[in-house]
Amino acid sequence: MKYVRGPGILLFWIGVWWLLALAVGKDVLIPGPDRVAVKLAELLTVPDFYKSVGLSIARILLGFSAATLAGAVLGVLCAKVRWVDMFLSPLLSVIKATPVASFIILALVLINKEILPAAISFLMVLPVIHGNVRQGVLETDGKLLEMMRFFGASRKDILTKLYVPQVFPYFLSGVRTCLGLAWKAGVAAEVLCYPKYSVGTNLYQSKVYLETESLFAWTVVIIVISMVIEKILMRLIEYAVARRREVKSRD
Amino acid sequence: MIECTNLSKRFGDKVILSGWSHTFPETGIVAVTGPSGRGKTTLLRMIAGLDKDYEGQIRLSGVGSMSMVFQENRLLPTLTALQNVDPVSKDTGKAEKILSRLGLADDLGTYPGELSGGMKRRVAFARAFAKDADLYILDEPFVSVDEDTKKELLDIVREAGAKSLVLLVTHDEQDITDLGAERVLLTDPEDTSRKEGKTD
Repeated sequence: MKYVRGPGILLFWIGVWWLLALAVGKDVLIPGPDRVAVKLAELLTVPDFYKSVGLSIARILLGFSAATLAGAVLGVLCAKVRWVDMFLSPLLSVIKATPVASFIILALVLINKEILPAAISFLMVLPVIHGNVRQGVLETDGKLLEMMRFFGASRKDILTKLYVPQVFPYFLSGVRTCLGLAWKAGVAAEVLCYPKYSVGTNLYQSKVYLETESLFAWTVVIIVISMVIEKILMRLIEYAVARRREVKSRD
Repeated sequence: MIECTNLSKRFGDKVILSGWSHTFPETGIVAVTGPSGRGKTTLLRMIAGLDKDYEGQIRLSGVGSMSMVFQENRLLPTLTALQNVDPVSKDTGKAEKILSRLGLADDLGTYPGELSGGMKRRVAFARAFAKDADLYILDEPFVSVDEDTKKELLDIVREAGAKSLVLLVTHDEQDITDLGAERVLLTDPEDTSRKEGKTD
């Protein structure tokens, strides 16, 4: 049943899109799914398509990875060192509240447009990962920590057997939230700074030349890539967790 | 031997201990008793070095190592029963032996989330006694265990008390009698502490 339900729901919404396109009756406003599919098939035959997609993924994953690492380190530091928290938390709250467009426009004059999308993804992801990890560390059971210290557990044991398992769900939830966020912010940055090869640049050009079919086709590409990356990353994390548990039970 | 001299402890306005003094022997079982909120757990935590915010002095002589059953089980949720006990004993054989003695031979690989309340308590108990210690501190150790298990736990406490000091908080008079424990009563802090002596 579940194998039927997913495609069934997808078909339903494609049907709604089709009806809407028919009702509007102008491809320049809402092209039908058939025309978008044809455009998509055309795009797949152009070598630059893969270059644009590949470079967009690379830029956004670079920003995402750097922010995940930095956010995790800063989250732990802020939870453990009061003065670091006092200095950094307000700054990260401001970054979190600032509209992504403000950052992009500001960064346009300061940063090379080829790496600007990475920087924007970094700024969007950093406060979320930092906040989640910080909260995870702060909410780690103090009584368990006291017990481990009482029984003379090493720092390594405290880290691997207490902190990592307790903070990991918070970290994972942050990663899940940020994958989509990084992708959307990165593409938005590409639209505004149009690097030579990027998904965002193609989206921008579609808009400028009123190629709505192309705009829709690139949007489909963005959605599919976002979903695929999320699935791959989540699978990798699940695999790592399962492997860790397997190793632990063998010890 | 543990010498507590002029111990005073307060939580905000509430005085828990006021100039309390007592000397605990090197070996044996001593039950710290008294009404709720009189500082039994606090006293044990002070002796264990977990609460250092007090006035007075606690001198531990001949106590090289200590072990403890906390009021809560405090088991690491991502470790199995054996893995929870193992790091403390640093000897898998010993950890397995004590868990088996407490009826958990079939649950060595079970995670705390899959154990009943009584089983978790047994794991916490096993963790404390998997370690050779000069002082065992037990804060309400028999909570939520069935009668058969309790007999086994009492035996383990008796064995430990023969060569080490066991400090125990329990509300069950029968446990104190069964263990033949010396009793130390914590009363109102305005009173001087009273030692009621051995019950056996």
